[in-house]
Amino acid sequence: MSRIALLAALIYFIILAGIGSLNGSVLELALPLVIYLLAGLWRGPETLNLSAERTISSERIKPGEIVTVNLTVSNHGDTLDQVSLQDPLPDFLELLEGSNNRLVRLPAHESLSWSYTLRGRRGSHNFSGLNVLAEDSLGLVVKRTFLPTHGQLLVLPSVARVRRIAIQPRQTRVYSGVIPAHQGGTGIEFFGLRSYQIGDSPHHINWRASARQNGTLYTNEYEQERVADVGIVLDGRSRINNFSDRSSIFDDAVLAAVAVSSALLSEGNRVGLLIYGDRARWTSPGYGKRQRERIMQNLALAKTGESQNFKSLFIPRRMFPTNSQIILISPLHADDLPLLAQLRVSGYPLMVISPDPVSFEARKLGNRDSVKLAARIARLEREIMLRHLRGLGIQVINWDTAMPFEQVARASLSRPVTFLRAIQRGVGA
Amino acid sequence: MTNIALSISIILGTGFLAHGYSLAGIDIFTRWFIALGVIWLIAQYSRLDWFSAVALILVILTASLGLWMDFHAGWLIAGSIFSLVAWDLTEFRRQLRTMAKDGLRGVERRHITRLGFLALAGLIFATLLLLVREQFTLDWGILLLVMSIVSLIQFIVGARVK
Repeated sequence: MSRIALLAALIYFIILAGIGSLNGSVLELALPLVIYLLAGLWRGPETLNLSAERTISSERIKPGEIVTVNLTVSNHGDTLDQVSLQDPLPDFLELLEGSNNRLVRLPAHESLSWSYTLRGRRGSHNFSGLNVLAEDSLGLVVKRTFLPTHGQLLVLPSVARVRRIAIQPRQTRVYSGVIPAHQGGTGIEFFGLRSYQIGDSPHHINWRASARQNGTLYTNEYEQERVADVGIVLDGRSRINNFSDRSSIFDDAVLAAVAVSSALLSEGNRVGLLIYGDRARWTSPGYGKRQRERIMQNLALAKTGESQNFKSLFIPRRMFPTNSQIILISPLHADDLPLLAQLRVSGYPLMVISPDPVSFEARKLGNRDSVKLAARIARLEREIMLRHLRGLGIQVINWDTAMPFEQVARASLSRPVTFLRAIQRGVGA
Repeated sequence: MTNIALSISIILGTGFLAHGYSLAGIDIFTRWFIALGVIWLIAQYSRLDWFSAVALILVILTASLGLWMDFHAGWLIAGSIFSLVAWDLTEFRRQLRTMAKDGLRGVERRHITRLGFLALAGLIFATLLLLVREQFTLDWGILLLVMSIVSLIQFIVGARVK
């Protein structure tokens, strides 16, 4: 019930009680209430003629960086006795100094300026305007309006610096890069021998092989290095990213996606990104800094969600060129295995970077024996699932998020998987 | 400032009502009003803002009952006025909680000054009634004098700040 309605109801009650009881003295009680009501109505705001301006010290910040928002509200109309100015903020932004809400008196043709500082987690916010609530001095007559302002704040995801992601797609593009193309030509790594042809550099003649063959010269061929098509798939299904205590492993997955996409783009590859949570958000493949910017912006906006269309893992193949490298970043669920197997059978080289949800949740649940046992069982189940994936020829990186991603990437992603397997065999022997 | 004014108005609102009923010799109601005042104060410190509306309704109902039974009109009306002030200040305090502290003192001062003048206007009206009914007493005169001085001080302070 609004205040004015309560007051009116009380006045009516007193008048009715006075008339009903035929006692005039009861009616005397109504007069202070009537005076109060009239005082409110007398000084109530009539029209609101306000405008607002906003400046933001930086429109793109990293998580934890501080940004200052300055606001100026001008009153072009009559004096407003009591104005509440509210600048709504989303949950991911934390107010550090000052306030986004003000209660002030705005004299006619005067302005009010104030500022506040914010810090935020990953996300984007459009500062569309201020909610204004003008009242009489007693708060009985209320007028609301919305003052539009311009301004947007993008809090980019955290960046983990990864130097190299070694991928081995079956097919590369025509431009030179750093990915071995399984074709002879100019490069660094030795690829094979062929007969000398006019125009070959004398430096590339293999004199030892030529000496064995009478009168025939052989030239060293090197493996061409080119760029490749890479599709990064970020799994944002809330049922596998979010936990009962409201914590989420999704931010770690986003961090991995940033690191991987940045590393691949800096090597000149053509990278596309698919994020799916409540809906699929597709960043079409591209090269260079502009593509990195697009990917960063989409990752800043990435949220977990549960779409009816994506109850299980969904990777639309038509979005990724045949034989291109696919990197899936997902905590994984046992139901996802058939789809990943199908992708692998279709010929896509597949890499799975899986933030470990078991370790993540176990750390939050404490050190009780029951938790330890449950975590052990869950880890075993997960290990079986990951082994099954490795058996299908999928490169799987199980990432305990307590470790920095850079460290994991250096150990598991900086060299080709065949090299790493050979090293492991050597250690085992 | 608002918290102090709110506590004072709750104490005065329920106190005057209790005094009005005690003058009529109904002590059971007096005790109930004192209890209401205590509960109201506790509710305000616990930030149960809705309780002020309930308390205001109770005060108006019982004041009407008292007036119908021809008890001392002045104290009953004064009780209602200060309960009304307490109800208003509760809402005002709720609004202040979410706001920045900068510049709030001016808003608070203006609001309380206006309420003070309204309360004074209500008391002057009650005094006129008492004079007509020949119920004007010394203690009522003291109340009116104190309230006038408080309002005058508020006015002077407000004018100096301006």
